[in-house]
Amino acid sequence: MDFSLNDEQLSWQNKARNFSDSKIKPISVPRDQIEGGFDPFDWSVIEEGSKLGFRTLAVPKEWGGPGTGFVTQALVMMELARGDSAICKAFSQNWKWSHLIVNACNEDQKKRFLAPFIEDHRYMLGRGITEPNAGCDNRLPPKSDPKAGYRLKAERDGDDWILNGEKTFIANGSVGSLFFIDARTDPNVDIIHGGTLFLVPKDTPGFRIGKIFNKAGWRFYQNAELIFEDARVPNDNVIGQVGTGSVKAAGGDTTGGDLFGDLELAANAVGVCDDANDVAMSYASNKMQGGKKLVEHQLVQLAIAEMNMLTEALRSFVLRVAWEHDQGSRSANGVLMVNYSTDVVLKVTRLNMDIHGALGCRSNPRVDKLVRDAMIWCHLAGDSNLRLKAFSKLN
Amino acid sequence: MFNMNLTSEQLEFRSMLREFVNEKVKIPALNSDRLQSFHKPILNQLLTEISELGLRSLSIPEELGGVGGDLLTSCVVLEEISVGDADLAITIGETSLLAGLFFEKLASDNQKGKYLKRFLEDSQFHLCFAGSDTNASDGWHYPKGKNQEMDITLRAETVSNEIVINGSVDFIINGPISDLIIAPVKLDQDYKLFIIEKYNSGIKCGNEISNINPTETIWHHGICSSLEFSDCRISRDDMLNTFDGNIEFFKRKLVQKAAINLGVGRAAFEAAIEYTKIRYQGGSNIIEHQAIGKMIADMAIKIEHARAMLWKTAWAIDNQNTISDFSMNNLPLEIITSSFTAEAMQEVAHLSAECFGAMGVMRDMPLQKYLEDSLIFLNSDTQNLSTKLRIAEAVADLD
Repeated sequence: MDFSLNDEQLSWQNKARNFSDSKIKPISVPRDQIEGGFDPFDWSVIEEGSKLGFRTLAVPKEWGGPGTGFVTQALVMMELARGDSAICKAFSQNWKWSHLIVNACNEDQKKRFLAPFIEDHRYMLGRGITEPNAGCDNRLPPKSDPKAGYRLKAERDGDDWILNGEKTFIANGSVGSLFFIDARTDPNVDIIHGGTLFLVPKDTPGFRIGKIFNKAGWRFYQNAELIFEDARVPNDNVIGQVGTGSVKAAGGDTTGGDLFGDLELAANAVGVCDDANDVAMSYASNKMQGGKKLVEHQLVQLAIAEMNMLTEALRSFVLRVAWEHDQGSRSANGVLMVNYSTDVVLKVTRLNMDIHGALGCRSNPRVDKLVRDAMIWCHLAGDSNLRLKAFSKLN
Repeated sequence: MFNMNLTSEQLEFRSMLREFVNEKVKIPALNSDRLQSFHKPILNQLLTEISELGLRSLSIPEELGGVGGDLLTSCVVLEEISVGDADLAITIGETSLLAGLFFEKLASDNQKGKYLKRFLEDSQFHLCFAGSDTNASDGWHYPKGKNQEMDITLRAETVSNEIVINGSVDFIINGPISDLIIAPVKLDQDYKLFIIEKYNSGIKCGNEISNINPTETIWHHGICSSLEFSDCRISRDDMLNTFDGNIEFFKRKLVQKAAINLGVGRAAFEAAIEYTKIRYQGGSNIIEHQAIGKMIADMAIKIEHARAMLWKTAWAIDNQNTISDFSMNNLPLEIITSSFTAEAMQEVAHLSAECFGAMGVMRDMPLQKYLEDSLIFLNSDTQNLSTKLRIAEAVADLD
């Protein structure tokens, strides 16, 4: 066993820490406090981070990216999320799907889409799976109902496909340049056998952005509706084979889609917890209560100890899974880890709030923000349904 | 005699308010534009309508022209209003509680004569308390209790037969809408309560706390502001009967807040039940999945326990003999109730929101508001941690 980081990993970690401290953290609360769904977003921090390599971190060297491994990516996410969880997610969402382009797209698609992704500092990626009536069913399609799951329809028309329907809550939806869209090419069978994955650039005729969601947490991060009204997509934009199901088309876990998604959330959670730990220790070290500093009270010491215990356990789990991914080892650990990260990030941010109390919450909006950000874990990716998915991988 | 039956008046009140909330409060309170905005102005028209239903004078004795409701009745009533909007319940609850204490216990006959008619006739007449619970952070002194002098922000001195008050207080519920202020003041070396009309030229009411920024957050319920007293001159005749009213006020206020907190949890719970019965995933409506069923059961358990504790505590405060005859333990039931309800309803709001998936955190949906409301209840007067130590102190009885 060897827990030491190599020079490349340390270098990226240090670079991310500096960027997080100097560029992300100063805008974190101010962006969070801007009303509206889109308005908290800010292109300038994305562009600055992109110039340092944080948007394209997962792209292999042969395609012009830094070619980092999963351990490095986890380390960078922990640092960026310590500055702001939502801004970190806006960057790492691109890694998720650049993994997918590299692993599942053909050479022509890579040339058409990876090149502009590398060059344009505002080129963001997203994937559209969720629909108003298809959330959990996409993750765990019920065998009894072949019609369950996404319903966005794709029909062949010559060399093109015509897409009709809508996606909802789609990450990077309002700022994305390219989307991976799951559609049904055969409505009579289940999504595993009748689903196909398409590459859809934002300027596709018949495709537009709908409602931009205004969230309680992760306010910087964009989620939007994607509307398809006779959207015409060339057959050349089909990923893998038609009708093989989008997961299989994307190569399943081996492509980095779900595989990276679990790591992404859990590593981000470590950053949130690190931030909460810093905020708690700082407040408790200065605030007087009952004639002494908060930090001198047993109750606060216990809370801070628990926060750090949970954080360090999660950090170990995350780095272990990242290392396993780098070794090509596949197991249920990824989904177990993201389930665990949900429990930890909720608990740690709540304990931080307990330490601050009414006065602390009124004087430091970051305390409330961390709790609101943490709540996203059990609504976008780490809810009970994902625990059932964990079981399905264990069984 | 142990009896959990509500009176016919309480049942009638509850039924009437449930209908009022469903028909009139929920639609404007849960309007998506209002939910999305950081600032949620009080629903003034509804506040007036609720006042006209008799809730502002709920705690004033019948012989003085009020409804004559006890604390248990207030709890039943405020839970119902809070299901519609916690801010409305906090606002009306503050005025009702203060008016009951003031007119029944604190006011002299002269003061009653001066203010009672005005209060009863003007549906927009509200009261506020210009002080904070000086015992709220006592837990941090555990295990020695608080042995410091009571710290009161407002200070007064006698000048030419007048009382001159100086100082400022912050986060005063109902500050911007109150006509009368009940203020705890340190006068010479004594602590006194005074009744002060807000139009007194020595009082400056700060702006309503309505915007979040890096130094100020909307971490409260109802309508709040600061109140600044600058050479505020009042008469000795404005002094109230007894200072015990301070303790009595905060004791009852904790119980009322627990009732309002319970209403927030119930609103979240009812929304979750309604939604899970129509959301179809995994081959059935999701309420039919064991994972959701367990969450709903956990929520029901917490709500029923919280209400049982709440009613018991309200009953004990309304009927002091239940402690003196050893029917109930002599513990700070109001703190136990407040603490348990705050934690339980935060869990209920959290579980309810989870039933909604992504919609549980969208600002145009009610669930995120219930979550935020529940967190504010958890840490709004003090710290959740020190509250536990106040209970421990009473149980340990180390004195």
